[in-house]
Amino acid sequence: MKRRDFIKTLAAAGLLSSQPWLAKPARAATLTPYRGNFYVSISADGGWDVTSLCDPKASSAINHWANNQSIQTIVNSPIQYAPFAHNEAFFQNHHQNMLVVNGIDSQTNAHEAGVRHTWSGRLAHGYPSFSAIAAATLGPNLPLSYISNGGYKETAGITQYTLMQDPTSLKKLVFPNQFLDYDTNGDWDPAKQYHRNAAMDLIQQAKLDRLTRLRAQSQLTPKQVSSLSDLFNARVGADQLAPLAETMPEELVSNIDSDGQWNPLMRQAQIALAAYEAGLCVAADLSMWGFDTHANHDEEHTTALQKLQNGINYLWEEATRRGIENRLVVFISSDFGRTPTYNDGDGKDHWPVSSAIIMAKEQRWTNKVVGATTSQHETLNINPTTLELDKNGVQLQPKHIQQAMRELAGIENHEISLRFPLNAESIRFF
Amino acid sequence: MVFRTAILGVILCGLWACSDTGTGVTVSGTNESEADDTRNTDGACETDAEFMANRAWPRVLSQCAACHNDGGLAGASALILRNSQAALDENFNTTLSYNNAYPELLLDKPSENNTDHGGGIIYQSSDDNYAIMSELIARFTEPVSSCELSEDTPSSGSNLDTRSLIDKLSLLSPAQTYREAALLLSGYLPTDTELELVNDSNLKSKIRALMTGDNFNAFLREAANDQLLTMKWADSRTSGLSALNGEYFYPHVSSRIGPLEEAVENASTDEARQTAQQAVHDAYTNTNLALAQEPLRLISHVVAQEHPYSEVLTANYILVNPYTNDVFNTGLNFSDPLDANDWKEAQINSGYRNGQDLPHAGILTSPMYLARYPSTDTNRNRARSRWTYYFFLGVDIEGLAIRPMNSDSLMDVDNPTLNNPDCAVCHEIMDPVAGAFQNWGNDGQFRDQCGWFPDSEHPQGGEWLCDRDALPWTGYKEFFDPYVAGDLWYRDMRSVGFSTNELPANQQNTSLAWLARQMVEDDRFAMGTVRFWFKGLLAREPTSLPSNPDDLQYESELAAFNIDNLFIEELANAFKAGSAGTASNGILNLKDLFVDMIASPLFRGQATQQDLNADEQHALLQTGSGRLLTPEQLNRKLNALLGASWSHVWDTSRNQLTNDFYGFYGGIDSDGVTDRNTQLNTLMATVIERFSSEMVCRVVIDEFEKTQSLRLLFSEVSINDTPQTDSGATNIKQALSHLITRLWGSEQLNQVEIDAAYDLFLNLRNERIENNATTYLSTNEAQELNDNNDEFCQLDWENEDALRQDSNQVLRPWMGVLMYLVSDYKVMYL
Repeated sequence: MKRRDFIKTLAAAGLLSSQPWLAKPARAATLTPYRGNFYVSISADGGWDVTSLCDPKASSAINHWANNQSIQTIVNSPIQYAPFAHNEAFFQNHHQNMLVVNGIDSQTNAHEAGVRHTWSGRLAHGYPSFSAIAAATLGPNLPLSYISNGGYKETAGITQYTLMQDPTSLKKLVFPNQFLDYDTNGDWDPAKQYHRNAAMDLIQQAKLDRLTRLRAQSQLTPKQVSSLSDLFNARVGADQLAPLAETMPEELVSNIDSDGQWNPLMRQAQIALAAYEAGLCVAADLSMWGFDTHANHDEEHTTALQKLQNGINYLWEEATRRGIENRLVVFISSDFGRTPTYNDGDGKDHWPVSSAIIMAKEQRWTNKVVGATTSQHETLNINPTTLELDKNGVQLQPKHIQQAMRELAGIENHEISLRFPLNAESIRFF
Repeated sequence: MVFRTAILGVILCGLWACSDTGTGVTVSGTNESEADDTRNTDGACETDAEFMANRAWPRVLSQCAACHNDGGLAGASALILRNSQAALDENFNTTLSYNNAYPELLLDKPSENNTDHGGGIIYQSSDDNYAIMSELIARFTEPVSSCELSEDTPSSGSNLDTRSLIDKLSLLSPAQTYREAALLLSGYLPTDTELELVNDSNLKSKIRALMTGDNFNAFLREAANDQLLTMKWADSRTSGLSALNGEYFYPHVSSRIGPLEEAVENASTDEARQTAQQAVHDAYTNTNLALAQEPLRLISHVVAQEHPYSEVLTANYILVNPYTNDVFNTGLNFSDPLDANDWKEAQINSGYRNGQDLPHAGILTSPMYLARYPSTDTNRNRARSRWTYYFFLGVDIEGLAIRPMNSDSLMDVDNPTLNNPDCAVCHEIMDPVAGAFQNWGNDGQFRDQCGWFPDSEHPQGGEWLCDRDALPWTGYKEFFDPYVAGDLWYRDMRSVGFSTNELPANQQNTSLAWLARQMVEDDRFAMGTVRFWFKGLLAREPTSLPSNPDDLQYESELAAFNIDNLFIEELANAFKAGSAGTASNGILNLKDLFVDMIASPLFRGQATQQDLNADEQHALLQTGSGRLLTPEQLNRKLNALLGASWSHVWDTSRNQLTNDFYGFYGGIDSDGVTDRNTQLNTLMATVIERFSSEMVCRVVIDEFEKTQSLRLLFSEVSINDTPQTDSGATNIKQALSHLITRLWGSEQLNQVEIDAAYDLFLNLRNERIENNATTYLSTNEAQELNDNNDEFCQLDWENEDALRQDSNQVLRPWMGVLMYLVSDYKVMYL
């Protein structure tokens, strides 16, 4: 007797509800795919030199390129850039989609503090990253709401992050009951799953019942409560991964970029976009190493910036190929800046003044520059409303950028955001 | 008038009576007329003791103590506090004495009112914390030791007292503790008989006895690497061999691989070439692995030898196996040149450039440690100093940079680390230790630099000489200002030293060995060791001191910090005194420290004695059991429970949990991913789903192919036992009892769980029978993609006696039950 025939028989006999193996296991409510903006934060790890990027200084003491080249401009754009790395192509191609914020004072020269400050808006420990807040507020039930690739990933308990660096085996996790280790072109036709569906339904129901019993115990420690909650939520989310199989690429992009450099950023971007397109992800952190150039700065920083720019180019190209470029918001920054002078080893050391680049497709707030620095790369205050230079105005700090990102995502007044107040003046970036 | 009563004092003493060390603040010279000044923010009266416990310490002085402690960043200042909530009375008196000696500075320094403060501005005159300190100072002259009893204003004191919070937890029983420790430390499942013999009095010795063998050594290496991250060099993309920078420094680096590569070139047949290529690959892999493991192996070697843990820094040797022995040409002989597990103490005396004897200082001179924390000409070993402080003294110099620095100081380019007080606060302790690395170059090579050295005719340099120092020629030595030929360290930095001691002139060549001796004598070494191993034993870092009293959960986070801090102090004191663990193995014995850590509530807390309020819950959020196992730990546990690991279907030597799914399940690569994910997420849950789906088929078949008495899991039941007979049902229930006990622990065995598992078995079997499911253990009967009735299992088709069919329809139900049991919380978590 086939399963469907058996069910008909039981139904006719009025026995359907008494057969436990026919009861539908408890599952999460059908997931509503997330279709809001996708927030991608890209960290230039180690402290980037914005005087050779988006806040160019044409002083040969600050930049060797100034010996024979000048600051580059773009027609119909206030954005300027240094003749360095792949800047020309990068800014010429993307300036319409860019808000450049210069003159951000990170208030530290220490890496860990700089990373914390830039990505959480506070020097002290304990605040979540913007990505974590976006994930917790905009997609709290999504199984891959926050994807991290290292870097600052503090969640402060409001969400969980997922590391997805190696997608080779991902399909096996999307379909954990499927046997996938066979040659699809071979002449052997093996069983395609480990357990029949009816058995899996019974097992899952038993597991859910067991977990319910565990969670119902009295006098659990707070740690046990938290762990059991993690397990419950993770299992519920596992049922919702199937769309990922549709969007995950059959072939991963190479780890070698067009300059022949090993470049993990492209693959990080590819996987994050696939998760977003599947409706499972709100925010992703990507990271690129190599910016802490205390020696041989020009050569090493050129390489680091080129890799960053190649990665960002790929991110936009892949988003466009997937048709989701209009929902992509990219936030790029670093621990802090680098000194406006070379050290004895032709390197540049740590400098608190930095920049940020926020990208989105042709917004009214893009193709714009906010904030400025002196010729020696010192911060200048701005008026928070007019954005003009104003010595009595506001000195930009990471908290202002974090506040701006919250406002851009429309979550600045969400209860979760308010738990982590930034006490930042609202700057009219947008 | 003030009606002084002992009642409130009794309440407070009751709280403190729970503490081994706290006795409450005792203040003499009570002024009875100042009761009006003793009310807290709710208007209730507060004694000085309450004020100290509820406000002065948690909101202000605890922040001061982060730097102003013995050996801290402000350890040379006149205000030295004990960084512990258990020392409230001592800190009260210390602060009082400081205030007497330096009137006004308690307010003026932290607010930088006409004076500098190395830690920057902590509070300003308009802040609440300024008011708290003002009140504390007022209490120095007008102390209040008790309050008027008032019906409406009794202050109950903090409900977040450290000892009170700890006392709210009940502990795992000795047997449970031993079981969990055995699975964690040595991947070993104790027998029921062993567990029955564990009690309070022998628990520590039983735990200590677990600390031997390959699994324990693997645990040690993993936990150490979670901190040191030298396993980065085991990866071919970031290989240890490349970090050695080739034959220039290590002339024998290719002594093994070179001939193997020649063999590839000279191979006359494809088969010979393939064999030779495999040999090259194996040599590279094993050499890189050995290089990466070397500092980790040193730790496990010191521990196995029961030597004081200080030897990890003071060892006058390096550990080598046959592969690294060839690289370093130490002169040792190994009976089996391919035995990667044979490690010996050695010294590099001819294997370095010019045959120099390298001055070993344990981990500090490990080539891979030095390479993992490289330097630059401007960093000048400061990163090495920062990490050395962090790993071995528990001092997180960079982690204390939580307040905005003065912008002028940050932009100061006039040698600010030496001259600027804002910078000096960190660099005073960091730079002398950086100097102790003076003999090691940026990439970790010994005296790797060259320069012009003067002769009688050329005072600015007459001969180009190498191997004299590690100072860069370009940008420093070339100017001979301030450099003087023969220097080993920068003259525009602080002198080489540690704490208040300068490096003696006769120890310039062995400065790291000198530093190592200084460090292990330092009081912070014991605390640093506890902090280093915290993550390995407890799967988390110690709770950080919260920095912002305005944070919503500041009080409970401070309480969590105090809990950890209390135990760290106690554990360190016993570790240092030789009274830790079984107290019979001398000082600084790491195994004994582990014993104490496992026996503490930090590991054993398993249930609450009573309902907790929200603050208490938050304070205890990280304490006790409920930690997620790492992929390596879970792999060992699965081996112990099931007698099998999760191997690939076509390659049983390939462990899927520690390879294919390692990153998904929270593993690290020691390079880009350096923190384990300790919070289960959806993808990690699907890893559990997959291994439980995949493994159970072969495990069940392998078990039932064995003689019943030899089985690990199903010794109570036969393949002929079905629920249709009473004896069958009984045997099945007995088997389920055994499985629950084995996989989840005996405390989980009860009728509810037996019934639940039995019901699952019944339902799975009934479903098969009712639906005429195949009796074959692997089937694709419909021959179509994703058939709902497919059941894959790798069967042995060549052995006629192998199990391939089950006419009783019990094996597949057993597989389902095993999947249910092995994917449970009690397996994944400890």
